[in-house]
Amino acid sequence: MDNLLTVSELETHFYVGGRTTKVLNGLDLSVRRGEIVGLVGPSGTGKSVLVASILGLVKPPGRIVAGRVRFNGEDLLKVNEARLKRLRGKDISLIAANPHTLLNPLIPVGAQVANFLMAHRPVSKKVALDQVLEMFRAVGIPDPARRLGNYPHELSGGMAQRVVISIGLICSPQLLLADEPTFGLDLTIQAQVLELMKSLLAQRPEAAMLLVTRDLGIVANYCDRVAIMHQGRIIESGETADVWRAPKQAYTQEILGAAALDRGPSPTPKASVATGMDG
Amino acid sequence: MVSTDIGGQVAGRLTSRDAALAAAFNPPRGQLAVITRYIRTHRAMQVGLLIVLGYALLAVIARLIAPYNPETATSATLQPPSLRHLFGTDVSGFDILSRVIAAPRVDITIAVTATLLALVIGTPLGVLAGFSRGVLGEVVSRIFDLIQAFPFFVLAITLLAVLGPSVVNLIIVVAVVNAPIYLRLIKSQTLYLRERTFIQAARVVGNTEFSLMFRHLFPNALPPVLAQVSINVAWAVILTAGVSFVGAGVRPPTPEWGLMISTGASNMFSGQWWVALFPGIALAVSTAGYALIADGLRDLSDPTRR
Amino acid sequence: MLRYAVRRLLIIPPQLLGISLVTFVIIRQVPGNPARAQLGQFASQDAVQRLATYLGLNRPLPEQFLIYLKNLLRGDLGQSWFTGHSVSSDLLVRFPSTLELITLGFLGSLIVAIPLGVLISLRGAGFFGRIAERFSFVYGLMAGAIPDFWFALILVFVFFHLLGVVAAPVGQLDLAVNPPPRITGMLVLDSLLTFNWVALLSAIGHLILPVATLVFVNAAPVLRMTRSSIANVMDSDFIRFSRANGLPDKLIIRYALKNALLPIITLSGVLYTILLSGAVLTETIFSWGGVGQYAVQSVVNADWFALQAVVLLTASFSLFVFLVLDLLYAVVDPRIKY
Repeated sequence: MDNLLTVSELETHFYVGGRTTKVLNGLDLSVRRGEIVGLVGPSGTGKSVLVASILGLVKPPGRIVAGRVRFNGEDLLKVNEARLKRLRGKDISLIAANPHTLLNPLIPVGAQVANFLMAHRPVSKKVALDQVLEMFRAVGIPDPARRLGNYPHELSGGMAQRVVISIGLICSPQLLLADEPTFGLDLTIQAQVLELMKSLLAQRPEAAMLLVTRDLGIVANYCDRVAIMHQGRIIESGETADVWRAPKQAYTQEILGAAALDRGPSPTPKASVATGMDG
Repeated sequence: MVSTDIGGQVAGRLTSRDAALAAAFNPPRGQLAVITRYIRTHRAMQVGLLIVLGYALLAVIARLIAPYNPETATSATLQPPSLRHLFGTDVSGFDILSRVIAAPRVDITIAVTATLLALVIGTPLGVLAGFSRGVLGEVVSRIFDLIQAFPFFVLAITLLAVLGPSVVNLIIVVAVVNAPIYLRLIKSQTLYLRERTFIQAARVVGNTEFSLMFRHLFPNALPPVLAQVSINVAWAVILTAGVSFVGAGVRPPTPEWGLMISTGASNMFSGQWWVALFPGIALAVSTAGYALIADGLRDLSDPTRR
Repeated sequence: MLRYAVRRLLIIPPQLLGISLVTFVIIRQVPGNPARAQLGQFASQDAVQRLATYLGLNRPLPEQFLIYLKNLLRGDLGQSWFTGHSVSSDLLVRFPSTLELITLGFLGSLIVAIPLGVLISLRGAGFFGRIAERFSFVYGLMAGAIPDFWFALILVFVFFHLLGVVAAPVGQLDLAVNPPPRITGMLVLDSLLTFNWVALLSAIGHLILPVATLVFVNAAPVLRMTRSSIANVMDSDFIRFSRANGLPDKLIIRYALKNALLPIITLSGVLYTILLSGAVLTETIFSWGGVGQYAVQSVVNADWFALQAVVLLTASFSLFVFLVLDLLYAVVDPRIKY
């Protein structure tokens, strides 16, 4: 089985103000080793809730009520918290948007990344910091030695995001969950960051990435496969080129615009996917 | 590579929290139903409401149901609680029970009026201070800072000495002492909301600054304020009691809890515990009631805690 | 940061000037002529007038203020007609007493409230957690609802009258005990410094009840702020991110506590300044002989110089504490640079 991650019939419900919202309503998704899968959907909770469900971090008023999340054959919904803690950061890691909100403002970034490394590997602080330095270099942070001692607020958005990526990759995880990793960054920085992640993953063919985004351009340029999410389920998925060329579902067609699109520089597709919360 | 997410970038990203907030405060007719349903399930708030309404009732009918006239001295001085005087009598022969239940009228009138006055003064000034990026906002803030720098208790009794210890003046003084709190609260809410994306979105769509201020900021800044109001009424009651305790507030023989505790203070040392005990309990219960309501309001306005 | 501290210190005198001016004007609106108050209602109008002139009360207001300022710069805060001493000597005696009381009350509140708050926040669910949560809810409610002066009276009744375990609530020392020589003016410190154990024991015995009152009332807001601050941090994005990437619980807790510190520091600082004037009622009940009592007394007796000086003292204290607070922020939070 090449499948690194298989999500089957996942249902995550939220209970707010006396109403139940089925945010995930029977969701099926798979990610194979060596590929980048794009997850496309309306802005809002749906996609982030999927990420949280995979990591076992859904908190009240949300609850996972049904389904399976198989990672390397193991159903994450059935293991205990201790096992999940061992997996998080080491085998499955997360990076997300707004890097400045993800980093502890009171601690230098080098130490922060090192803490994540030391949490999963028995290394001393000094050795850890050396590896962090290497990682900073690999992700393209200029003058990395100096940056180790910087605080998050002293870094630009792009640099902070690279620090976040360092955290995501420092333990060489098998699955990287990237939740809108380039949101809010300058367009040129976005391109750099995505190229970087693509190349880092290319170096490790046993790993894979689930890239959650609203940006169709990113999907078109970086994702091998794409999954379209709508009203809590995946309504269409497949090779990006195929889906782009011949979208089967009405919703997919709506997103991609009336005309079929080539993978590559695209004519303007109709509006963005950010249509607000559905249902 | 062209990003196709232009719409998303302009309108800002609605996180689930923002969406919930927006839903909670721009609701259609459902809001009243939500509130009553909430109240029905939130026991602490029910207790609080019960207490406050109970005292309000006393404020109205106390003088009718009191066994003795609260302001008439009898010859039975310093009697411990008995069947004739359920709470005992004080050194001048006043029946303590009658005075304890007659006091809410004074205290509640002062506290509620003063708090509302403070709210009325502080809120618009707070919006102004938070919203205006210029000199005006600064000046207003600094002036109120000065008011807050005064030791509030000393300020209260000094102002009372200047104005004279009447109920109206007491209201004014308590209002003045509390207004800066509202100013600061509203100001910080305004500052916070000013930068939020949906305000920026509204601005993009073309709302003028003024209408922005009133239509969007105001309703969203209000809920934490309501919780603060409840707490403030409680403080106002305690402040009134404290001020009367040192003799600068309500004058005898008007029944007021602080005054009664003051009368009973020295008695406490010599063992006549009832004189100061009952007014204190009444005061504490009343304050607890307001605090419970405030807690309930706070939970109500934070949708993630419902 | 040193430059910032100096800049703040330099602003304080003008701020104090502003406060003095406003106080000056307000106080003189208080009805009651100090000259009349001093001489009593049976003195002749003539005598009152002569005293008024002597006190400079008939000069125009701005001139009075300038005279006041001139004396202030010389260190002369005026004379308290009620005590008969110079105001500065009055304050010199009373301020350390109040400072001792409120500092102990303040420290006591922190020692009780912060560890309790941390424990409750981190225990979370589970049997003990829920009991502690219920307890802190009730305590918070009570402490906020029970007026401090009433609580002091209850304490006195229970522990002095009923149980007889503490000293009579009058003043800071037993009547029969000789006070230690004045070094700082604070009895506990002075007794310690001069190895006067008898006085130390007596002083502590007299401090227990008033300090307990202050701790009971003030620990509650600190407790509430600690819990809410920790809860807020635990809910923040970076904690969730850290947890998502497997940071061990121990580190998460350490991160959370460090980040929760700022609002707690703010609240504590504000509380300390409030205590200075807020301890008035407690002082009155225990006949503590402190600044608060002095203030109330001066209002009631139209003792203007005394009142002016107390306001000035309180304001300076507040401003100074706020400065220390701001400097503390810079130490804790690297984002803050001056």
